[in-house]
Amino acid sequence: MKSDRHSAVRTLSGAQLLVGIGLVLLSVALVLVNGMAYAFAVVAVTMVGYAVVMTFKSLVTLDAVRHGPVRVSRLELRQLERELPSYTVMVPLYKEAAVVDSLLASLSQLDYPRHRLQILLLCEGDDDATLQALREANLGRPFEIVVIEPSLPRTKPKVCNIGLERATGQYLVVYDAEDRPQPDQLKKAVVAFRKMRRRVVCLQARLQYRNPNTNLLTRFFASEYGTFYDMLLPSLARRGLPVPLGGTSNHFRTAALRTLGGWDPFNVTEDLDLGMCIARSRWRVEILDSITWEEANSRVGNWVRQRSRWLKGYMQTYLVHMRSPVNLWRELGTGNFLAFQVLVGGTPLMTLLNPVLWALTLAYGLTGSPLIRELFPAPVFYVGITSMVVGNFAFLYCLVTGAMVLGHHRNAKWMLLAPLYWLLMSCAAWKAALQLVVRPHYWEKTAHGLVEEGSPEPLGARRGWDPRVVRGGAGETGELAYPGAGPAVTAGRGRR
Amino acid sequence: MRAPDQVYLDTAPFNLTLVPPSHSNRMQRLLARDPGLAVSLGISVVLSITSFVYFYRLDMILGYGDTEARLLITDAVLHGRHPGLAQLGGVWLPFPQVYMLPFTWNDFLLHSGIGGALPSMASYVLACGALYKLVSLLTKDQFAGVISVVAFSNPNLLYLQSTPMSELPFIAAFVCAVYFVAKWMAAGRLHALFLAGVAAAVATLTRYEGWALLGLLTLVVVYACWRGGLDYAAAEGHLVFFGMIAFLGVGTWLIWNRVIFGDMTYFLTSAYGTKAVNATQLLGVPAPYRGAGNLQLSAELVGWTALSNIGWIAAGLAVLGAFRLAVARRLHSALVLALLLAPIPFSIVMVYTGGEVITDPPLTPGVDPANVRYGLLVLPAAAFLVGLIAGVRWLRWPALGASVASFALLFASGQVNFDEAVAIRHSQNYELTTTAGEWLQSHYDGGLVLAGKPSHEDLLFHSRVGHGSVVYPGDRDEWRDDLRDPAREVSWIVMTDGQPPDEVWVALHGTNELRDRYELVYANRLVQIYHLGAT
Repeated sequence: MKSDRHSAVRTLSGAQLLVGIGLVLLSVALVLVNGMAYAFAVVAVTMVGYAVVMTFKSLVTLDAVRHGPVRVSRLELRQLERELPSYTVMVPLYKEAAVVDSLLASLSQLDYPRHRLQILLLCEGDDDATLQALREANLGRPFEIVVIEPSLPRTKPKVCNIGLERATGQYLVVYDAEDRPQPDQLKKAVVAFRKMRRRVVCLQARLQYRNPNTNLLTRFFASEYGTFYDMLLPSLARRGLPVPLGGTSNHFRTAALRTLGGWDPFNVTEDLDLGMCIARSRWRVEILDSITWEEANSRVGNWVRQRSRWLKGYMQTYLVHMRSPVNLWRELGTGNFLAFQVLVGGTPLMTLLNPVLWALTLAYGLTGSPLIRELFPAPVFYVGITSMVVGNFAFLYCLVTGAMVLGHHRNAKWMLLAPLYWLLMSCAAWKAALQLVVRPHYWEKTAHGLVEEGSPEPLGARRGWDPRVVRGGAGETGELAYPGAGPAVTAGRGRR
Repeated sequence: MRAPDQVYLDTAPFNLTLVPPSHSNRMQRLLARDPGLAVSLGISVVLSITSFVYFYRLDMILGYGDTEARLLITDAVLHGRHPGLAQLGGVWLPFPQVYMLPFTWNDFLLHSGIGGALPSMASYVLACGALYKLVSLLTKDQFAGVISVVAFSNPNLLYLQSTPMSELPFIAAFVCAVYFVAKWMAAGRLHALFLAGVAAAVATLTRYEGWALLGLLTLVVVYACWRGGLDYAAAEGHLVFFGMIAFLGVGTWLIWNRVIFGDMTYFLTSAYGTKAVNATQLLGVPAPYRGAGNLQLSAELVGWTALSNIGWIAAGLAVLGAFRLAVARRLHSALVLALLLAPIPFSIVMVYTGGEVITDPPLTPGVDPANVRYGLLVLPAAAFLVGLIAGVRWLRWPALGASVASFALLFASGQVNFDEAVAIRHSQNYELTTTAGEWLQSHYDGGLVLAGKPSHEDLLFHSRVGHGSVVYPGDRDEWRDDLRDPAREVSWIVMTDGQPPDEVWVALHGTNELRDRYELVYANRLVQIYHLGAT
């Protein structure tokens, strides 16, 4: 269990509150003394910060086109011994009666010896509908229904901590109700854990959406996921930088998870927080080349609620870990400390500032205001315009690349409309900032089952090139990453 | 069994295990895996440095007038009265000048030409590396790649790589783009397609031939998608992925012209644009020798300059290579060749429409050679074909021998590009402007200098008056104001009575303003220099 010092039970520590008040008072004083100079300083710092965040994220993301997650070959899977280590699967459920059947079907397909598997279905005691659906399924081993007495905070990490106390597996994974992991994911995790050093205490599976083409929102969302799980995270993991975990399909060495104290029950992005705790312990996260299919939010309201929770969690996590910046720096090291600032602090800050800067740009374009021009002298202007043009282009390109990496080729052109998506993100960010003040621990529940469940596009159905060709030896061509992908183009073979 | 000094990076899909510490550097690892690349780069570095020293000692690295003009642009960007990227202008594509910026901050590096030559030399080495990779990819033969680099390292190219010109950066970007597209076609890797886009964008920002290359590259990407059996959505996705990067250069340039000069086609239509400059140049060419409007002559001029640049032996080898390609029916290599030949049809069209002026004494007797160096743009294609020949084992050594013989013959008979530069150096106008510039250097006592384009580049370069003391058309409002009333701030006025006279001559020569306030302190048949001081 985490101590209050490392928990989001309080949004701000006493010291942070004092520093915050001090900054506000200082700002007021500076505005009174020389408002323009103060405004210029704020703009200059913002532009430089923007440039740093954009450069870091773009470069790290795009560099991942050459890299990828941890692969486990079919041969390695076949060579697994019959007596496998025990594995606990935890699935927190709350108001998920609609997806219980498909969830249970998916979990039943997990390719793992039943006698070595423990599946904990963690259900709140007042969620009668979900409990009823579970009981009607007449579940036997390895399923266990864990009924949790309603208590504050009403969050997923609280429930997961209770499940952790009951977990018996050597390894542990958390899935969400709408998740559909690939059946061999647990075995792949076992192989991957074994061939890596013990410092690797967590494997994050790749999350992909099974409904990328439902509407424009899901197209953006799916590409964003591709950019995040197939590019950014592998690149961060490869460099040993802190990895922001996704909230599901995290595989752990159970003992390490217990040493870390489990999840922070008051943090609404407990996964991100745990990823940072892993980094602070000088442990590592790697990305596992196995897919868990999820449902992309297809409704704007639902999406905003979900995204605002994520961004609120980023803010919470940043404030919690920055309670003692010196300790954080000591534990992470300089490089990881800076990466933390960019990834955890920079992400919500950019989404908050974007509308302000867009409004300034628009206002200047329409009015040519000398006041705005004064705020952007030549060096600041150049940095700002470069960030805006180059940075936004780079982020757009990351989304296009994300779509290509996933094989969602038809979505590539839609990413050119991404500024609309960013606008939506900014709305969610401001909602998150407000909620951080008034309801910091409120968990915005995401509705699932909005899209009819169907099979995700199987990987082997892609025709032609697979964009992620694996180099098998010294030559340029080699084993293709996935079965069923077509051969590379060579002249003279004609159309298939 | 894992070696004790290996780490666990075999988790990566590419099975990158670290080699022992003696090869811990990534470049070292790359070269250890590909000794042919090491040899090619070694040859190119040695030739690059040797050639530079040779031509530097002949005082010819600033032979072309354009070299000084390009260096002056970098001086204006860094040290001008209104320094900044806007001084890059809107006619010449900016990348060669931007590439020179890190090396021309220093007066010696600028005026000796070394600062401008260094990027050119680096581009040559990069082009050799890319050409090697391209040939070895398609022939699966490292030695063939090395031989293609030998064929590529032609004396005309080696002279040009020693000068601050745009051809070598363009050739490097051009060959890189073709290599990465070929790699993508072979292996389907998105990373290669991305890099092809980057190289294409750089090429489009270096020379206008890059725009033709871009068009062809796009067609090849589309064709390769169709040929590879991709459905429409996949082809569209690949095109978006490639095009977003590749067309960035063209888009940026058009927007730049619009933002800085108010006209997206400023580079074409302005008084200093390619049309106007070439029209002026054409006036000096007798009508029967003008390629403009004469398709046959345009093709002959382009063909002849290509042949005179690469030499007869290399041309013969290239023909053999093309024959082999046709017989073997290797479509992949044919597509690559088509890309490498893109500059040829572009040049023919440009000469025919008056967008380029090429004159070469064998075809245009009595006229000084001009832009003969453009023929070098066919060299990558010729070297590629030599590489294909060398991919046949029993032809390997003959191809190498012939390439070396070609080099020796071209060197002994004189490089056409070098001859062009010598002709420029010995032209009357050049001698007159540089003499005037040297006079100004020895008599300059401070104050602003008003000087027009285009002749001012040679003169100002040799005067060593920094751009911080020059008022020139790039200063726009001040330039216009000083043409009307120079005495308000200008101490020196330089004007040239060329064909046609420059703007300063037109605005001020013979005026009362000039007569009353300025004293003629220097004059030759072309240049007059005035100094502030009432007569």
